[in-house]
Amino acid sequence: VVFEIDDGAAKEHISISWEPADQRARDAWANRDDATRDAAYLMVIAATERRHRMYAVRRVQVGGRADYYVAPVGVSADDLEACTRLEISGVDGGGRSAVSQRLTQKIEQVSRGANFPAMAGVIGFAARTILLRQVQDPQEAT
Amino acid sequence: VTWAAYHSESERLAGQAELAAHSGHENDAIDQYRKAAEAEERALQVLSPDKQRTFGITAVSAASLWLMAREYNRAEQIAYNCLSSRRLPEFATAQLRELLQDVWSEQVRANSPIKFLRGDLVVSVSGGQVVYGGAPLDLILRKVGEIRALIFRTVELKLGIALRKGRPAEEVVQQYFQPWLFQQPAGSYQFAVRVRQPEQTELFAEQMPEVETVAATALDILRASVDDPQGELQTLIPDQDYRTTFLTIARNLAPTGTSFEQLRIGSKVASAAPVVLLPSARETINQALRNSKTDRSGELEPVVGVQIRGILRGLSLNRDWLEVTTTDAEGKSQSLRIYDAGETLDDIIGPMVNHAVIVDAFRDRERDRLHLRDIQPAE
Repeated sequence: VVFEIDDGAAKEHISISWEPADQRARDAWANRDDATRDAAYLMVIAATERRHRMYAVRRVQVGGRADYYVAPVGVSADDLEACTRLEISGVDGGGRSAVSQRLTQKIEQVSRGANFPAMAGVIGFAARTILLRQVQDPQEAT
Repeated sequence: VTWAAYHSESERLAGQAELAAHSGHENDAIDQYRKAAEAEERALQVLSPDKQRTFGITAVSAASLWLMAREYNRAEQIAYNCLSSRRLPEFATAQLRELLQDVWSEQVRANSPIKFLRGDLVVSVSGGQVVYGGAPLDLILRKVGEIRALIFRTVELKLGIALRKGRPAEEVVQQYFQPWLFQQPAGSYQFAVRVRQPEQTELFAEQMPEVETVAATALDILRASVDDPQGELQTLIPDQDYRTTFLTIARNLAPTGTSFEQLRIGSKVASAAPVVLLPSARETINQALRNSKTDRSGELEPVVGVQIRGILRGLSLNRDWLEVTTTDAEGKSQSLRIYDAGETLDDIIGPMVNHAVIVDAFRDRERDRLHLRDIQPAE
């Protein structure tokens, strides 16, 4: 299946293949919301690695207003000094406008973290699109 | 032992707490959150003073975990200690200040004899005329009315009550599932709504596990209305009339971009991500509404489609009409009666009375009558 990754600066088409899920796997993942969320984590983290060379270091704990901390290759997980927050979301159905709408929501969500670098990534499974955006620090913008 | 070791231990325990909470084992979840908070506090203690960002993240995490463990004094204590340490980056200072307000609210609620259902809806209106901590009274009153309609309709959906038309919610629903308004920390303009737990739960014993999650369901419905009204919303709400009702509520909540630019609805208790309604959402939902409604214009040829902007001055849903007053460029007022309003839901149209509205109608030339297609707030 071909997905488009759009990181705001460039678009890239990537081909993704996977082993079809057997009945056992389908039964184990039979919650649509959980499956969408977990597949979104997988796909957006992979897209972030490909487009930005940033890798998931840790999950964000409660209160952290994002899903993962990502950092360039070679950065250790001994602290979070060089990390960027990554907020991830998945849209099961709907077209590209639904994916864009969700991205706007996610950007708004991570923008509230003020002076802490952040990225937002949304995958639309039906739209076959992954949108990635780096969120500008509001202080830097002024 | 290093920060990383303690933090990893805290992550593991918080994960177990989430699983326990997800499975309905509340006491186990609280116990695991307490252990996770203790581990995070130890991580904070062994952290080198030069790691400012890590300190901020860990401080917010530890205070949040104490809050989840319902240890309000510990949450408050760690927040105060960190805020006075002068080691916090700006983002963590802001988050800890917000968290303190949540702690105080939770403390008050925990000590109150009145109990509430799990989950809340935190509504934040921003942009346009809205300033930090203040907003036009009319706008907020209307939003409160729309959220009230959203909650009652969600409760009725979960209780399996057939879609109500032309009458308010049953007294038993209004009495037993009272929405309460709570103030929130300033930040654009914010308020929170929670549903009071029925005092006699045996009346709804079978449905209570369903109704408990009313806030999370309302959020899911709003999200599906914006993201995927033709797909996900149909899965969530198979009944078309109910679906159209929720679509109309979601559309009316969305801004037009004049008096405000964004409405954000989230939950501090439910783990679901917030829903952000922008002016573009209004058009998406309007399209879905056009697709879902039966258009009577074909039965009344010849017809002319018209859009009317004015003030909704009166309505009689029982008599099937509403009245809109328009003002032309010279300041001359005219009152227009529009028929076929009987199917309009009173809790949806109610907040619009005496406010600016946009009416989509068609004119039946033969009888020289206007017939209602749709009405929405103009602000």
